[in-house]
Formats: sequence, structure tokens, C-alpha cells
Amino acid sequence: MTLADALVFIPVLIVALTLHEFAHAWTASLLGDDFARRQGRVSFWPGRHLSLLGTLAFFVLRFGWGKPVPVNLYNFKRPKRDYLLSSLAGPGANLLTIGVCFVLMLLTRWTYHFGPTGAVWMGLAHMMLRLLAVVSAILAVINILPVPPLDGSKIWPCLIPGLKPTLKPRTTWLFLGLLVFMLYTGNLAPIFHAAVKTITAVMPVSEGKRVDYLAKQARAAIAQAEKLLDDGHDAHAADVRARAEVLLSEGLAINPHDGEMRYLRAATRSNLGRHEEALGDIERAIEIRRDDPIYYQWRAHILDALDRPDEARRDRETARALYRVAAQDDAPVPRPPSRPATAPGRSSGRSGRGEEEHAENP
Amino acid sequence: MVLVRLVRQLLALPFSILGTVAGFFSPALAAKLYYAAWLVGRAGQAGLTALAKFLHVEGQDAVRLRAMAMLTRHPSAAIAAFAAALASAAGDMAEAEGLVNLARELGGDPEGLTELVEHEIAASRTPDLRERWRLAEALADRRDLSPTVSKMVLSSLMWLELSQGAFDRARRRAEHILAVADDPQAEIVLETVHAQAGRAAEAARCAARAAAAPPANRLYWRALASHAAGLGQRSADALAELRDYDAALAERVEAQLAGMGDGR
Repeated sequence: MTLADALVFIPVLIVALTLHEFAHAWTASLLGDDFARRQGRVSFWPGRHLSLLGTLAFFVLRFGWGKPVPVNLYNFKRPKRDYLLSSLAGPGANLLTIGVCFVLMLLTRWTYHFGPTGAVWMGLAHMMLRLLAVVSAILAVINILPVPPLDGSKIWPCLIPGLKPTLKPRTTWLFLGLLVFMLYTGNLAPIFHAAVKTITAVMPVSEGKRVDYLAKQARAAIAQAEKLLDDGHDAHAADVRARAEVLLSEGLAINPHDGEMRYLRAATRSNLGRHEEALGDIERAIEIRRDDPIYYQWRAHILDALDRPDEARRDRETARALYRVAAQDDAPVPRPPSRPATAPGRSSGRSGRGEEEHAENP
Repeated sequence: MVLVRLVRQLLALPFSILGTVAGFFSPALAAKLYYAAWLVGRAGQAGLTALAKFLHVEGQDAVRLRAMAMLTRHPSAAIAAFAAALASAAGDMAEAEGLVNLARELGGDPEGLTELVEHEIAASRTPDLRERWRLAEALADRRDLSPTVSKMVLSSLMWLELSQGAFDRARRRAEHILAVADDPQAEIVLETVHAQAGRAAEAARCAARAAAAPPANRLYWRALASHAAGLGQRSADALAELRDYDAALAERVEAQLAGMGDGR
């Protein structure tokens, strides 16, 4: 885990853990047991719920735990039922958190509706909510495992008639050792992966995430078209390009201000022979980003195809000048694509542009 | 200050972990390790755990002295409350009262021992069983005590209810205790209540469940409970059987029963 990951992940984990433990304490108090309240656990202050050992373990073992909420079953009117409810409250709070996150994610998914600064904040908020939902799902799942000292181990004795809702501490420690071993060796990973997969499959997707996904799919299609062309399957390549164009159009319908997608669609449309539409796209891309020489080079190529050589020449000169500026700035010099007529995919990523060299007249 | 406390707690952590591990095979070693954790970390809870462990390996008087020494070294509400409970158990109510006041000054104990000792002090000042019963009920109404304290209060209330002829309440109290965890003492009280009401089958079931307890304890409780419920013959039988297991205990019980009168 990088420092940046930790800076995002740790606050989210603390929030999820605090809500989980608070729910246990609050529910117990609601059902008549104020022992946790006496210990200051009916609180949203994370310091009350963090365990020193559990926090240290997080940095060493990559998983941690909060301080268990003490419950006095003698204070419950119906010990089994009330202990069951207070035990379920933790995972229940995590499920509720997921629900709240989903609602807030629905509100923050409109990434591009609040201007460029708004998009950054909305994107960040959506990402944090997404992470909180995922962490809450993992917490809920791990806690319903019927292994002491997890909540699940307290739930099943309350459901089986004749069993007492208490376990001997020695057994608890034995199971705790087993649980730590299973977590450390990754034996529980499939369960967590299933939880994460399920939750991400149903969670609201932000516009930014959708655009990223579409751009990724489009790039993959463009790369596939390239390969098909190399193998001589021209007709199939055209189909794949058409698919890429649809994906890019969908992405641009969400965020019309994405210069990179405009450029990709311009190249794709140009390669499909739809030069007029391609020209519209590349001109919009240049409006969005005026210092990218490759955009000018593509416009030159499209203008050539439209039989407008003077304008194409001017664009090539602009591109050349921009390359020179980039070289003077000691920046890595981007190079023009060798085959713009066939390979927008190769030049779509910044690194891809480095493959081609000094082919100003495709 | 917070940082210093955190560093202390970090340093104490290995001792606490080792103390927990040692608890599985050596209570004496566990007590020493928790004591070391308390010395380093100065957390009242660690001191309380150490004292509770020492109670298993040392006499009550020795632990009481140790608690007083610990209080002098690093005063804490949890230890003061524990020392008060020990003083109260030893019948030294004046010292118990002083320690309860000290615990309150130090910020209240997290377990609710102070409330228990206060109740015991108040109960010791009244010979009237009904008044003791009222005091115990008032304490049982509190909802913020630790499970250990609650269990003691409920048990004491259960015995008072039995001795006062409130058999139905004693039965409900025993059933409530048993709904949480196995408790041979509550089983014996329940058995007695059933026997008193002529429910032989239920009484036999309770007796079977209480069979896990050491025979001397079981017979001791049965003798007391039967006497309190006015089942003289049953009490005498239990006492006779107890003599086979622990003659000295049987003698003490006999004296205790004589002090209680003829039961109901």
C-alpha cells in the first residue's frame, strides 16, 4: 500500500469501524444495557473505538480491528434476543452505511455537471463513498463469519434453542488465533473478493468512471482494429473501429469537454472515411487543448483528405513549432504518428506517441 | 501528555499480550506480566486485571495489601474500587467506604464496583433483610454495571428473594441468570423452588444440570437454599451428604443455618 492509498484508505476504515462499533453500543443501550455507555462507547469519536493492538496490527499484518464493545447480557430483558440484535447491529450498520453511500453516490455521480473544479470534488467524493461502501461490505461480511470473537459467533448461539449466548474465553482466543492465521495467509480472500465484486456490481457508477470505462474499451477496440489491419482483416477492422466510435460517442455524450476522447473519435472517424465529422471533432479537441502538436497533425491529415492542402500545411507548421517548444522545455519530445490514417490507437496514449518518428506526410 | 501515554501503552502492550497467553497455563505468571504491563503503561484496567489474576494465586489479604501498594504508586479509580471491594469482602467497611470515596475522586471506575461496595456498606448497616432486599433491588435496577457486578447483585437478590419466600421472583431471577450463562448456583435455587412447589421433574432436571459443579459447592448451596425455602429435611440430607465431601465446610454451614433459624 502506498502512502497515497493509506491516506485515503485509513480514514475510510476508521469511519466504517467507528460506525460498526457505535451501532453495537447504541443498540445495546437501546435494549437496556448501558454498560457500554458507561465506558464511553456510545460515541462517534473514533478514539473510543480504536484498539491499540488492532491499529498496530493494521500496519504490520495489513488488517486490524476495533475495540470490542462490552455488553452486559444480564441487563437485557430477553438476553438471547437482545444479544442477537446488538450483535447484528454492527454488520447492520455497515449495510446501512452501504445504503447511505449508494444514495450519496447517486447524487455525486454527475461528475461533469459542476464545472472543472466541481468535477474534481465530485469525483473525489464519489471515490471516497465508493471506498467506504466497499470497506463496509468487507466489514459486514467478515463479521458475520461464525468465528469467535466476530459478531457471527454471537449470532448463531442466540438462534439455536438450548444454547447459551456465551462462549468460554479460552475458545475465543483459540479461534482468534485461527482467524488471524487465515487472514494473514489469505485464506479468507475469496470471501472478501466475492463481497467486493457483488457490491461493485450493484453500486451507482459516476459519469467519470463511466467515461473512463468507455475510453478504455474504445482504446482496446482501436488496438484490436490495428492488429486486424496488420493481419489483413480490413473488413473486420472497420467493424471494430465502428464499435470504438460508438463507445467514444457515448463517452462524449457524457463529457463533451474530454479533449482526448474527441481526438480519438476524430482519428477513428477519419480512419472510417468520415472526414467531415472527424474535422469537427479534431477542431473541438484543439479548442480544448491548444498545445498538443499531434492534434494539429491529425487535423492536417484530415484536411488533406478533404483536399484542403493550404490549411493542412499551416497545421503541420504549427505542429512542428509546438514540437520545437516542447524540445526547448526539455520535455520528452512527442513524435508524430507514422500512420495516422490507420492507427489512432497507437497514438492515443502519451507513451504510444513515442513510437513513431518524423513522418509529417502520412 | 497524550503522546507520553501512548508510548507507555505501546511499551506495555507486549506484557499484556504475553499475560493473556500465559493465562492459559500459568495464572501466577499471567498476574506478574499484567502487573508489569500496569507498571509500564499505568493503565488502571491492566492493574485491575493483574489484581484479579493475583486473587487466583495469592490470598485475599495479600492481594488487598498489593492493591493498596499499587494505589500509592499510581492511583486509579479502577484499582481503588477493587481495593474497596476487597476491604468490603473482609468486613472492613470503614476502609471500603474511604476507598469508594477515593475511587469517586479519581474519576469513577469503569466496572461499577464502587456501586456494589456502596450497596454492601449500606446493607451491612441494616440487619433488616427486607431493607437489604430493597437496596439490592435498587442496585439491580442499574443498567450500567459490568457483567461480573451484575451477576453478583442478581445472585444476591435471588438468595434474598428465596429467603423472603418470594419463590416466584427467585425462580424468575434464576431463570434470567441462566438465560445468560450456565450457573450451578442458580440451578440449585431453581431446583429448590421447583421442589418447594412440588414440581419434582423440573427439580430433577435442574439438579442434573447443576451436577457439573463440584459436589461440595452443590451440596452447600442446596443445604442453604432448602433451609431458606423451608425444606428442612432436604437441607438436612444435603448437609449430611456434604459431610462426606468436606466435613469442615459442613460444620460451617451447620453454624450458618443455626444462625438463620428454622428457615421459613
